[in-house]
Amino acid sequence: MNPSPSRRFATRAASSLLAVLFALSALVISPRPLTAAESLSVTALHPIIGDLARQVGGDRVAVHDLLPLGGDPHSFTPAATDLIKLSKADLVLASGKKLEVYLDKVRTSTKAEIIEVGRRIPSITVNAKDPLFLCCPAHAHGSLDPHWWHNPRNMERAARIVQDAFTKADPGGAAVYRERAKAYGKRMQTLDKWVKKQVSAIPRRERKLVTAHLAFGYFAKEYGFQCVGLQGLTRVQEPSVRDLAATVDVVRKERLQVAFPERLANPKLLESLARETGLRLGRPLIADNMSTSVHDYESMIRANVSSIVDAFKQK
Amino acid sequence: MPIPVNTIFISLLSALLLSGSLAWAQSINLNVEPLAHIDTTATVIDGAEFEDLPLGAHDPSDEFVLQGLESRFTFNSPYLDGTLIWNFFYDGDEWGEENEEAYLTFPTAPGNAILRGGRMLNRFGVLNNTHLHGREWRDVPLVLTSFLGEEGLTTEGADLTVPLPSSAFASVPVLRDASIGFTLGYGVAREHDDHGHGDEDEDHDDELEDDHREDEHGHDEDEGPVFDDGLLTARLAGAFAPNEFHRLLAGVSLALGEDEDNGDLTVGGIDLTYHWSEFGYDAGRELNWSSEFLLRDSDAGGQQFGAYSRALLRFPNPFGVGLRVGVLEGDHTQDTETSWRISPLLAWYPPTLPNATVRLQGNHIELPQGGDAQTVNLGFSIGLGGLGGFGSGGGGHEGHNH
Repeated sequence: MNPSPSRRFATRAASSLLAVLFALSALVISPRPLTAAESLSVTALHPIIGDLARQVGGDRVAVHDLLPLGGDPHSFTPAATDLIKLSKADLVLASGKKLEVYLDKVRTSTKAEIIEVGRRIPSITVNAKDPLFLCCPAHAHGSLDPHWWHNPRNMERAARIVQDAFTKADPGGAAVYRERAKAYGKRMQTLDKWVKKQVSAIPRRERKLVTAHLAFGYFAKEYGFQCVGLQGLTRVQEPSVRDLAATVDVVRKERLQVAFPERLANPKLLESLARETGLRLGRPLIADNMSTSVHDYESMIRANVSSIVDAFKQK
Repeated sequence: MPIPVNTIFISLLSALLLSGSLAWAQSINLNVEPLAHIDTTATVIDGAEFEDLPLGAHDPSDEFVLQGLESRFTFNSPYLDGTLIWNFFYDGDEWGEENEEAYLTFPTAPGNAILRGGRMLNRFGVLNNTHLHGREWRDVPLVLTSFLGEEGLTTEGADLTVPLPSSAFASVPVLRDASIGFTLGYGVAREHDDHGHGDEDEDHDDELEDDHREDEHGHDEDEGPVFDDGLLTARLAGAFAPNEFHRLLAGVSLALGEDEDNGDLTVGGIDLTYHWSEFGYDAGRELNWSSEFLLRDSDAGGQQFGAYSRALLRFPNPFGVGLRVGVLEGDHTQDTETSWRISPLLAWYPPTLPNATVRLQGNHIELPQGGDAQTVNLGFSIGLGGLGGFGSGGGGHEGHNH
């Protein structure tokens, strides 16, 4: 029996309506792609945070790095033009832990929310009694170490913090940020495992890291090293004659064999120490900022670990 | 009868001051540092009279009281520290004063141990050795007043606190960031009618003393067995702080002695405290949660259980909200029912007065003698001098150990 015309019409209408509803729901459920003008404008006060922001935000964010690659975050001061750019940001991401000493100036220059990403990351405080520090300049004692990014597990936590910040500023992109943060977290876990495998080649009793300044505390704590920093937490914290003498004593007493200059630091102090104590100098490490040749976080960690492991393997 | 430790303390201090040897005084870093803290409270009550409430000695006992004007004097030297805390108060009827603590501390005993001798708030549990100014709630939990006495457990004697070497437990992964200490003490419990008022109690006969005590304190006289004479106390406590965001404290305490009728008396307790800081070293929200569970076992009253739990959330804008609940099992020998109390709290820490706190606290209490009562009290506290008072400022957190 053939359906009546009215029934056929009703069926077609219902099918059409369902199709329209389905199409509309796809538009609603899928994140609406933003135009360039609609991208979340994010200013990162540190290129490592900027790299993280791009990883989590993808196409939905337009990230501007206030500190250029190769700049020194400890001594950077934003210029007037930087502050003008800041005023146009939807969101500002800072590393935190008092790294950006100019943060108050930033607060007065922008109405955007400022997220100190490192605020929720467990801290290391420089403490001469902490076995993590074989030797440290006395004037860094009690200071908060701001170099939290040298531990990939901290970057995994940071990805979630950035995800939350982006979702709050752009709720329409919540699903995108969640997926990208999750993927980034997995990459950090993989990176962490790779680091552990690499450093396992260095016997625990030999894991003593002599560097130009105390930038690798978080790395050392996670991977079983002890730190000897010639300078304090910043390259501004110059060691006194007594500090240098103490460092020489430790190097000799512990029979340390290798030291690591840094790409952005003046190597003279470390070279002087090496001459006096016979330390070998490894390849320079990337401590405070990436460079034009190593411009993403994962490459930075891999480069540093390779330099460290290669140097310790040479005997 | 023990030699009054104040005499020893004052004599020693006088000897040092009168020695006339400035070089010696300088070498021992004699530093007399006066500090003070004021706590005042106004209260309204419904459903009962103040005299019906199970109160601690300095709990709000009238419509307006000066719970305490605590003054502290300390001196420090390389091998010996001294502490003297005197409290003045007004309970709505008359003024009183008392010596809360007076003790010497030897901070350089072997093994980083700390030896104290004198009159001291006993290191039992987490709240007993917290002074009034360090407490957020204006009254003492029911169980502590009942089991440790209206004044808390104050002993005249000595205690030794020894930190356990970390090598003893660092191999256990979860205890790697922990610190554990053990305290052992022996002393004589402070007398429970030893609460100095304007008119000394020496001339009171027993009948008057009982009336005086009931009138002055508004307490139910039948408070159950409390320590009298010598007692031994012990406490094992551990702190675990993996980072600046979380801190967990746990302890087990024990007190062994006799009550006023020379019957055996044992009080044991377990305490747990958790502190969360949203941004660690930076200002942010903070949560402090603490609970104590106590058991009293006495020849006079058998076994009795009590507990309290309280939580306080502080916000960066300077408010705090909290809730405390407490329960005390009834005592058939005293013909009392199980009582409980629930106490919400709203605190304001005025930014312009960093050492001050304003508190609005409510109480609903099911009374041990039956019936219930409600109170609302408004308290103002401020610290003066030095760092603004001993402790962490005007508000402080409960469980602060001086």
